[in-house]
Amino acid sequence: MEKVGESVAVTKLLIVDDEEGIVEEVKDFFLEEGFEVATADTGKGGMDCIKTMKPDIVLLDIKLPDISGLQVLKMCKEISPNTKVIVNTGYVDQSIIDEAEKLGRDAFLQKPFNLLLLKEEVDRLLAL
Amino acid sequence: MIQLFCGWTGLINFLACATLALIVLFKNRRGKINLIFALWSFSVAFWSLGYFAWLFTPEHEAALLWSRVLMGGAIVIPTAYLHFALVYLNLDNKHRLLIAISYVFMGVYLILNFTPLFIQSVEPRHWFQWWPVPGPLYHPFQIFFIIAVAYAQFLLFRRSQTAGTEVERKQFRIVAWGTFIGYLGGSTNFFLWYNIPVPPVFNFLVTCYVAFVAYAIVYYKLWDIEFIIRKTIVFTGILGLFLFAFLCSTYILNLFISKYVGIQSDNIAALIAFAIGIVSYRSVEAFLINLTDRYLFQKKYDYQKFLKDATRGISKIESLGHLLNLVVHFITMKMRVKCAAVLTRNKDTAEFCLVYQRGFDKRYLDYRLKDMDPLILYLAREKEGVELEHIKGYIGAGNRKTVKGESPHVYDFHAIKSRMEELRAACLVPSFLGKELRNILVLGEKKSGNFFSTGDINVLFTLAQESAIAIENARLYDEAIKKTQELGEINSQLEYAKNLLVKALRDTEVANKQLQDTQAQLIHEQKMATLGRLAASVGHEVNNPLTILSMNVSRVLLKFRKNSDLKVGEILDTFDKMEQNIGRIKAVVNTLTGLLKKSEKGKFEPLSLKLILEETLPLVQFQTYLDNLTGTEVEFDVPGHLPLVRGDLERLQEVFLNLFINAYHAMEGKRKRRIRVHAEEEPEQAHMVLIHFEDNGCGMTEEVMKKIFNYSFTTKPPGRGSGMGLYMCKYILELHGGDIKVSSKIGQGTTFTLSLPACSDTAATKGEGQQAKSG
Repeated sequence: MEKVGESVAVTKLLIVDDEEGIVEEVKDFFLEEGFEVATADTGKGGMDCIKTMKPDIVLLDIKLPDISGLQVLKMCKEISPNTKVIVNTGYVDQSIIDEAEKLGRDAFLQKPFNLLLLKEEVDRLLAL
Repeated sequence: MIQLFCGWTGLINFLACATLALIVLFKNRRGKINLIFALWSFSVAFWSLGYFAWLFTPEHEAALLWSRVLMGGAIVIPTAYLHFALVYLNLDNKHRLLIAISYVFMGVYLILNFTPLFIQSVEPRHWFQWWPVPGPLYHPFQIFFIIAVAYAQFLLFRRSQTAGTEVERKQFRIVAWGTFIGYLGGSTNFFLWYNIPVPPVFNFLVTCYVAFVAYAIVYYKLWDIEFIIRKTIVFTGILGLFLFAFLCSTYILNLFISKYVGIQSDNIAALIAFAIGIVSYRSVEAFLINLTDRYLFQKKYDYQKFLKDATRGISKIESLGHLLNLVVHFITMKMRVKCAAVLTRNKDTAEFCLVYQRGFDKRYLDYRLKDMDPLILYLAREKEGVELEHIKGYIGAGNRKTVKGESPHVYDFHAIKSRMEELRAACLVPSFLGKELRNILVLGEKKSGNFFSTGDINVLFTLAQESAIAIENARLYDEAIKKTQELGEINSQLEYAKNLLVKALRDTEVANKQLQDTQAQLIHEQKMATLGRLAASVGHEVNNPLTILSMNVSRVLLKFRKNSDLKVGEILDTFDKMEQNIGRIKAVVNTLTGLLKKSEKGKFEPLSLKLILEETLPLVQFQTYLDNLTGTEVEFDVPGHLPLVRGDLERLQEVFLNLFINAYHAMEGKRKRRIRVHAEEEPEQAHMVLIHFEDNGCGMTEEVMKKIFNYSFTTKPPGRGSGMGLYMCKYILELHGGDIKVSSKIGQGTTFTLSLPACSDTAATKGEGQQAKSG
């Protein structure tokens, strides 16, 4: 976990994913866009971040090395209901997608997706 | 006229009595009763002859002589009659003195007959040319006559009341009344002797006794001479006709013609009578024969018809029930009995059972008589019909029945009587098949109250014998039908059983097919499950680098939008990242194609155990992608000298895949996870290889171990396990000629021990499989 930049007015984005390449790309892109970006490569790390930074938006992967992303989603909605959560996974399993919807994810992205699509979703959710 | 009538009736009486006397005499010349009956009958005949001759004699002397002849007969009559009656009633021994006195008296008067003391003379009297004038000793004879006849008559009537059986009573009654009427008719002679003007016109009644005695003879078998009796009656009847015709024509001629024509009317009358006689002879004879047959021998006539009808009916019947019905019905109708039944012998129970009845009530339906019953013994031995009246008679005679030519046999007639009364039987007729007593006809009382005559019993006996054959035939017929039905039933049962068998076989076939289908379905499902998990894993493994690639591209595009003069050198690092991720995708694809290439379906080939295990591992990693099992220590201990095993790679990979997955699940939540696969040659069977698959998971209870290979048994939560895995493992190993066993300790771990046949031309394992990227 690491923190980059600090500003009261900027939007806070948390990336929870164990896929290094993805985390790097998304982080670089949103920093350029002027977001405050935090990252975590485990579920537990993600949960700690949510508690401390109360992000505006979380990009959450389901498949994590320690716990399921769904647990992180559940916890996030409990302690920080205002945080928008974009769930994404490369693992194609309808039951997981349904479960995430039930737990209150704000958007779902099936991997692979590109940065433009992600930006669109993030903008849409922030405009709400 | 009266003289003529009396004369001719005298002649008829003479002929009838003489004929009867002769017949009875010749029937048995030594029989006491025959001799005495003949004497009596002759005396009447003699008297009648005298009558005839005397009345037609014109001369005084001749008339006197004939009247003495006539009285000679008359003197014998009372003695002979008394004697006959006593013998007939079986009283002669008791009345020896009376008989002797009577004969002495008779002898004396026969001598006196030729003296004027008995008949003084003859003289014309009233209607008669001549009539004897009684001498002084005539009167005692007259008294003797009356007393003797009256006493005999009294004895006969008394016996007709007191005789032991009703049959006997009837017989005596007929004889008594016959003789009574005869004597009453004859007694009209006595009046003229005392100059009382009563003509002896009832002389013809003397013939009555002939007729009555004849009836008694015929009907009750007094003597067995029916045929001649008939001839006698026909003969006297025809003579009577002549006489009647003669008398009538004489009378008519005298009345009308003789007044005008002076011709001797008697001769003309005789001619006319003769002519009438000739003309009507045939028809009168036929009429008389018919008459005697119808009335005197009516039974005989009926019997022939009875038997003919019965035989005709019986021969047509096939079913036993129908036949018995017919016999019983026939007997009831024709014999006019109140009730009738048939008892038939049941061979199995040695009993006679009442099988068919008419006029009995229900409680007789299960009437049974044992073979050893006195009644059955009697019928079987005597082989004749038996009448209740006779049995009563035998009881009187001391339980003794004498059979012709045999010594008397003693029966328990009391028991027989009570049996017959039980059965409401007036008469029983046995029916034999060969020598065996098979059926008994039971006949109740006749509706008329009459008794069964010997003739009845004889005809019934004949009927019974005829029906025995028919009954046997019908019984066999029924039996055959029953057998046929039974065979038919057995046949249909066999047919039914056969159909069931065929159906069962077909069902088994269907079940077998279903089992095969299910098996195939299972394999398919298992494969689909594997494939599904694989696809999901592959998706993730490919989608991650693809996402990076996609982001890289979009990143470059965005940079180009901001700065259209973007140089390739500025984005080279992005291309490097892209190249890296393409490499990752390539690696996944290579792993997959490598797997697919090796799993040629259904082929048994020599396989290296180490290779199988190593190639399964990446599959396991794909399969358990979500389960976060990284950090599990996996150790393969496969000695180099171990022979190759023979098997289907795909199938065996499936087995190990299942074992790995189970092990991972069992070890979930454990800090230190370890799987060890150790292979060795089976110590006892050189051509088998043992593989011990150990984990340090949670282990399982005995209960679970027992069921672990069962179809659809699982301890995993729904959605996680189908209960197919270990079942399929066992199935696959058995298919290979091997086996799988389990041992486990709770909290310590589980060991599966697999055995697989070794390949015979074995070589040491060689080559290394591809190993997929872990985690």
